[in-house]
Amino acid sequence: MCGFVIGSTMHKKDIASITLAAWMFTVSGLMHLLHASELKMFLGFALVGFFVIVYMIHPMYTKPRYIRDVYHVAMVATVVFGIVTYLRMLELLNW
Amino acid sequence: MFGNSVLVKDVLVKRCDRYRLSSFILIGFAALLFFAVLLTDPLGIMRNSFTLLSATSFIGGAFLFALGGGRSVDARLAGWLSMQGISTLGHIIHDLGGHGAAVFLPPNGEGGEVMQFIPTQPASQSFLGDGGGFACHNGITGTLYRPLAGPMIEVLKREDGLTLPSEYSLLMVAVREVCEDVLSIADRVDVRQEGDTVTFTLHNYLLFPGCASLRERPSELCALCPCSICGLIACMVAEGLKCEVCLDQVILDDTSRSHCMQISYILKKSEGVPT
Repeated sequence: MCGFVIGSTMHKKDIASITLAAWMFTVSGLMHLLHASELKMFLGFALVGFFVIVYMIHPMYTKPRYIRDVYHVAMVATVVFGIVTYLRMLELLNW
Repeated sequence: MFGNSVLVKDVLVKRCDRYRLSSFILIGFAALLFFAVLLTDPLGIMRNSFTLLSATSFIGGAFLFALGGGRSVDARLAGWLSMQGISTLGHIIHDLGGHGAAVFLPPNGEGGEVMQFIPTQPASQSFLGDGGGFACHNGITGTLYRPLAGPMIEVLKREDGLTLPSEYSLLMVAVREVCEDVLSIADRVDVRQEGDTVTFTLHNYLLFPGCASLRERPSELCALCPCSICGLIACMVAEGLKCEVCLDQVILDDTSRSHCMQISYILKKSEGVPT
């Protein structure tokens, strides 16, 4: 028994999960193919996709409970993204 | 067919649990992969492809964890609870002279709330006394009640930050968000406008069984005494557009794969229905 129906009746939370997974697998696959596997770079790209998806799914006129939890995760992701960016800049400056 | 519908709704209700379960599996998988890389290739951990896979699983798991949560409830029970008392209340209103369709009136100024006007037959007014308790609206005498969805819309405003825009297209977005995201009673809500009639189609409607049980009885009850969900949408439209809203008809469609409910409202506004 399939949990959700692929097509017009898919809930946007399902669509968001699938899109994020597809984005991260694409990025990691490309990095692997290009022999450029690097965790910090991957985290940067993956979190950009995450932020875009959160922006796309957030409701305008309501704040459901799940979106408040997503905002908390987004705050943690922002900190991680900041650290990754900071380390990358340090690397560039040292280089 | 009914059993199948129950199964579909049960799956819909358990979506939140599936999210949390999937998140735990993904985070566990991420931890396993990370430790495997740590043991086999501790020096190249930052450049190992399995580390990227581990990060993918972890981010996905964290996202699913945030999307999940909430307590599940049996869809049939929720459907019946939502309809409990509607039939009795409708019969009482009908026996007291109520007839036709209830009209949702927009709030009177700031701080007001939507009220539900139920027209009554002239004969019943003399039966009920000297006119006390009756209200007159557009030359029609009837009774004025607080709609069943009144408390729900207050909770949505207070706890879920619901705001109701006055522009038609934006208000429809707000209705969609309430049905799809906040209450999760439908997978998708379509809105169609034809003249003064606005039709909302709720795809994969969660409370379908309860609604179907009510529709086996006289359908006038739906228009006379709309349930919480039909009333909620009507209240939102009435408050947002500042117009009178009247429930026209409810059509249940259990033939398609996802059970749909179509609710049609007639909007009445002196300066015309906004588009």
